[in-house]
Amino acid sequence: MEKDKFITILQELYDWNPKLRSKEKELLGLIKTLADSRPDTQFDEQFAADLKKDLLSHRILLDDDEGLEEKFNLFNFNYMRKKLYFGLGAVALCGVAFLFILINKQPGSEVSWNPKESFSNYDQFVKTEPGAFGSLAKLNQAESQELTASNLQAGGDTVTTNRNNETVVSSASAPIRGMGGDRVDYLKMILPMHSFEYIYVGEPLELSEEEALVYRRLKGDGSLSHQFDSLFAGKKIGPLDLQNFSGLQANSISFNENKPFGYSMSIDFKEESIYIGQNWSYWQHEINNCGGDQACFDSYRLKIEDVLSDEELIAIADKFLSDKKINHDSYDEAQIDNFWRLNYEASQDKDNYYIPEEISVIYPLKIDGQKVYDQGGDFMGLRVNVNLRHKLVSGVSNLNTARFETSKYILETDAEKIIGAALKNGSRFYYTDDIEKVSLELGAPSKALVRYWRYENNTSEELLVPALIFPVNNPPASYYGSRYITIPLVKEMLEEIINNNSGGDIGIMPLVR
Amino acid sequence: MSDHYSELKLALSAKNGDQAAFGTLYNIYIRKIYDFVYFKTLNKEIAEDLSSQVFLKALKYISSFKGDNFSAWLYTIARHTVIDHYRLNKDYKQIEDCWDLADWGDLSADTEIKLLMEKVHQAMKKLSAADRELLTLRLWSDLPFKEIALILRKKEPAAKMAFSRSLERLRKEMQPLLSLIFLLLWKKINL
Repeated sequence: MEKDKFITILQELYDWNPKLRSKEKELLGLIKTLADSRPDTQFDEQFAADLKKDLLSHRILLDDDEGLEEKFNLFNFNYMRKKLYFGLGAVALCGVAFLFILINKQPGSEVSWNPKESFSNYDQFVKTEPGAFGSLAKLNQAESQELTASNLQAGGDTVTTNRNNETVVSSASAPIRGMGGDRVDYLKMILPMHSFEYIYVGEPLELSEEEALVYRRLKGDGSLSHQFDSLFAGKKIGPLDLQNFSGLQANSISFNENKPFGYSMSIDFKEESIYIGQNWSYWQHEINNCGGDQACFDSYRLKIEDVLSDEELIAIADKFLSDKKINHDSYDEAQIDNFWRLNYEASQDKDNYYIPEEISVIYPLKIDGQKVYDQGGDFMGLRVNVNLRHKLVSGVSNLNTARFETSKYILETDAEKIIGAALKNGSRFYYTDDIEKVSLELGAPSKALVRYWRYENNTSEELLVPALIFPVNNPPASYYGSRYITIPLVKEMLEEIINNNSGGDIGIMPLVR
Repeated sequence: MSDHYSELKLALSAKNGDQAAFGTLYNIYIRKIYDFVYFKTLNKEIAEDLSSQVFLKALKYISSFKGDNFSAWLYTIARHTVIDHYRLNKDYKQIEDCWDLADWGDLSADTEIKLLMEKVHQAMKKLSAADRELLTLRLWSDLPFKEIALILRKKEPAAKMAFSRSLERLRKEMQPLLSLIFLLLWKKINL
């Protein structure tokens, strides 16, 4: 067996360079010696078992979102695990309490809690003084700092992504994702590297607006959970007497629909966000019965002709929202996330390309009539996943409250500065490898709100900032990077980009942003 | 069913919230990732902490997994987690693994082999971190060149070339030991 491994390695090397055959004896000796010198890694099975147990619970724990990156930065898993246990205890407490309520609910009595009503308070805006959110200059930096912690770096150097709040139960942070995939999605792909620079080819900019509103999302003040809190406060649940605890507040709650093609629903009170997903046990997964049968497995692979048209996908999503009476008044007309098609179209081997089982329908978020984008220039909004195999909605995410504070901030009106920042932002990376240099054209921008994150004191704030979004006009087929460059119009943020490179760090990274 | 394809299915199931699928992927990869991290840190506690972080990150970000190679995706997270670890530690900002700092423990019960292994590790220490990474990924983690190329963001032929060159550099470092290596190999083969 081991011998086969060495022969395979040698053969691979010969395939690359046949001349190496002349050194076979020496190579074999080296390879074998090196392979044999593999150290004992002292792997501890108990550690693995404990970690697995923690991890699978952690999926729930993420709801409390005390800043996962913070925990990572501590580099102390023991510390992390202690926090996990506290969190697990809290979650268990909520779960037990809810069970108690369900079990003891009298017929005809009514739980005075109405998530639909609570989550339908859209378009609430609270005006505040100009500049009330403090300096926004560091928002660009927050982006790059979070990335360092959020694990995805290219060549070990800092790259940028937003703090991704990827939906589902696991994410307590606002789970809004950009249409076409967030930057973090790009980053998670292993991609070819190119050097590229941007050239502005759009019309001259005319910017006359000297100030505009910045929006800060309001959430997690307990207004959604308080009715639920009172239901179990002071109750005795088995051996647990909640009278002995104080200040109890529900963080999240989940429900399962136990029927064929039923759903799981999770409501995060802290982030004021709802997630609906498959109740996995009740969905058919025939492919799981294939065992090791490759032919069986292949027979279940979707083909490109299995992909529904955009109209069909939207109709399925619309019907689901309508049937379930899910209010989505704050969202714009549906669009399809066809990000996967970019890769499919670029693929050389389309027959073997993996066709996704689900496609997302996005209902872009609109605030004060303005569409909202992420920093990658992709739509943010309500995401409804449609399962192509069953032609059913399999998940809904980013169904959030939309309560905001607003505050006026001074905007930059110097077009030259803004375009300069866009070019710098786009061209901020260089590469050490000998790689192809590509010029990319930036077209005329459109104005929109762009979401930024600010992290302070272990809390995250979502800020929507007026910005310009420059489209990349001529991406080559091999280009996997963002199709847009977003530049904030708030003067202090722009100054920060121009003066401190905060939005335009020179770094080494792949062709993805 | 190929491993790659079944893992992809598991990853996509996990992406859709199937914890059992994530658990299966965890079972497949925990040892591999732990070992990979250990090869770079040579410390059990650090390897446990960092591999824990790797899987926490994987769990957090699995919902946005869009690649077609879960293994490479996970190893990439692991690789950057280790790099982060050293870069965030101001004392070790310039290093990407800790071979220079490591104190090798028991390598083998066989004295002769142990001596040789120590020499090999001495030679490995003289290589660059990049060389060591390539050699250990292929020979200790048993990853194919195709996957190594994805993790290191190289093309496959470039990964092979780099591996070959790393081997060559190791060979130079180990030149004085080659006769001993062949002797041991000969003995082992004839046992």
